[in-house]
Amino acid sequence: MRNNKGQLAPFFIIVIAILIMAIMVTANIGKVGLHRVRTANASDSAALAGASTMANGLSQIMGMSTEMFYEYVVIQAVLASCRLSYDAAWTLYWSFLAAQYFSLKVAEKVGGDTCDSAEDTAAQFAFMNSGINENKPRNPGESYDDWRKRRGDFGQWMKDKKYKDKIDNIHEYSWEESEGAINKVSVEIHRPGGYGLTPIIVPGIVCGSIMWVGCVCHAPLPFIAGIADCSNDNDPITVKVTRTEPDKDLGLWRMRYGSISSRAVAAPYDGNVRPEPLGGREYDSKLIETE
Amino acid sequence: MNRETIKKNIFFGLILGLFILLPYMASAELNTSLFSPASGNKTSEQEIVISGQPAKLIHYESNLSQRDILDFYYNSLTNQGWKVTKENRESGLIAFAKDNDSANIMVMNIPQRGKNDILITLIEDCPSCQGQEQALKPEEPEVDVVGEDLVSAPRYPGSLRILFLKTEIPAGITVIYKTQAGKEKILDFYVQKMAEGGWQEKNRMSMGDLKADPRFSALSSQLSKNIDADAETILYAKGNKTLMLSVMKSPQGSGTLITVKANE
Repeated sequence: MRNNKGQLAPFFIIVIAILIMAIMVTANIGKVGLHRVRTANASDSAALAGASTMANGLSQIMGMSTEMFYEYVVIQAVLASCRLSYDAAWTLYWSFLAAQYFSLKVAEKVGGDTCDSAEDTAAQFAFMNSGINENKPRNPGESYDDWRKRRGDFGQWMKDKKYKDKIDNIHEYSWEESEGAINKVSVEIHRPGGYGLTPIIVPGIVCGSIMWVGCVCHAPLPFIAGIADCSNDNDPITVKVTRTEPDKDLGLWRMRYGSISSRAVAAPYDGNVRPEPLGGREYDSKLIETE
Repeated sequence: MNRETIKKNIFFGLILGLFILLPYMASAELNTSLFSPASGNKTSEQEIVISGQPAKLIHYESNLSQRDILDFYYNSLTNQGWKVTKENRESGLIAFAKDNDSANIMVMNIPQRGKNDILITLIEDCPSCQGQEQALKPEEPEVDVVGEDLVSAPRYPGSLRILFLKTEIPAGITVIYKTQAGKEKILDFYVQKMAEGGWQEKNRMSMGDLKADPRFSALSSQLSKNIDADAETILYAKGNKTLMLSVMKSPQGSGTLITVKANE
């Protein structure tokens, strides 16, 4: 009688090996999927947060435009009232023009600052949501230095607002999980540099009294009555988040982690920088494209 | 009469006096409904003070044409006994006076608006108006006009206050002074005093800046007749307060005008 003992052993060994490989591949593919979801979340939330900051800034410009309109209304009424001396009327007119000019300049600065701030906010959201700060408990037997190295200094880096630093529109954070294994999240942001504002210039009248002559009116004279238009208020902010894992074979047809990228585009919409009585409206923001 | 009866008599006397005076007090108030346009909505109403003279500024918007609005006011007010003291229809302006009251109607047309704005400035109990255009002119002040100096900015020594303007919307006070001192001396004075008061210069502009900005080049060419090329304005900030200082030559040739405007 032949000895059949152990005939199934090679079969089980093969099955177990396949199972182990399948588990590893599934885990790695799961990790890839997780990174894909995280980069998508990071880019979407970053683009939307950036567009929302831009919308708030544009709404603030609309508020300034409304104030300019009311300033125009009251000064035009006073200058038409013939209750001022000639000197007082003209110097009030000049100071009004200067005040409106300053308001326009301040509005332009608010626009520029808003776009800078939108980029900072987008970068902040992108890094916060890309899974860098995932919980990394210390492994048994792991030295403190190794754990620190693996955990990285992301919290401090965010606190120090290093996410604002960039080279060619790319903000980057990298950390070394183990010797030579570099992880990286890079965030590429494109947004408007500022807003081009057009003033509302309307004809008006300046009246002042001259001794022995009476009330003398000059018209038409230009008055600045607010902000008519913003040339690029619907320009979008584009955020591309790329997660780069250390080069590692995933055990499936030479599949490697490499880089995973997501891109999102969002923009302010449905608003208008004109003074409220002239149809000015606050802005909202929306995602317009995701990849 | 005992003390209680005297007290009662005084009380009822006061009540009776009040009833007698009430109709007169009510008639002193100008009926603003007179100035409501044939078609339109009131968008705002505020009290302003022009050199001690309180005035009411009412803002309406209307879909009627500028001509129809001016015709409406001309007809309705002259029918009520108001006299026209100034008429500049091209600029949308008609001024009226009746007894001691004056009313200024200004119709503004902003192309982007699609509606006309009507600004009505009412000055009640104006003793200097008298229904005559000559009387409407404010004399070139020889002493300070009624008002006050700003707390935030010092007054240039020896200058005369020629305008005090207080508005509610937007809230602010503008004071204009006249002096014989030159522009440079005045600017040196304010630059030093404002820095001492903790104010920071945020922006500065002159007529040259307006001319250099393509959006305002057409505007600046229309101003050169009455505003001198050296007119200069500085914007100051301290915390969330802002203050604007303008200095320009008098368009009448003599003296320098200083405007200080703050949101106090």
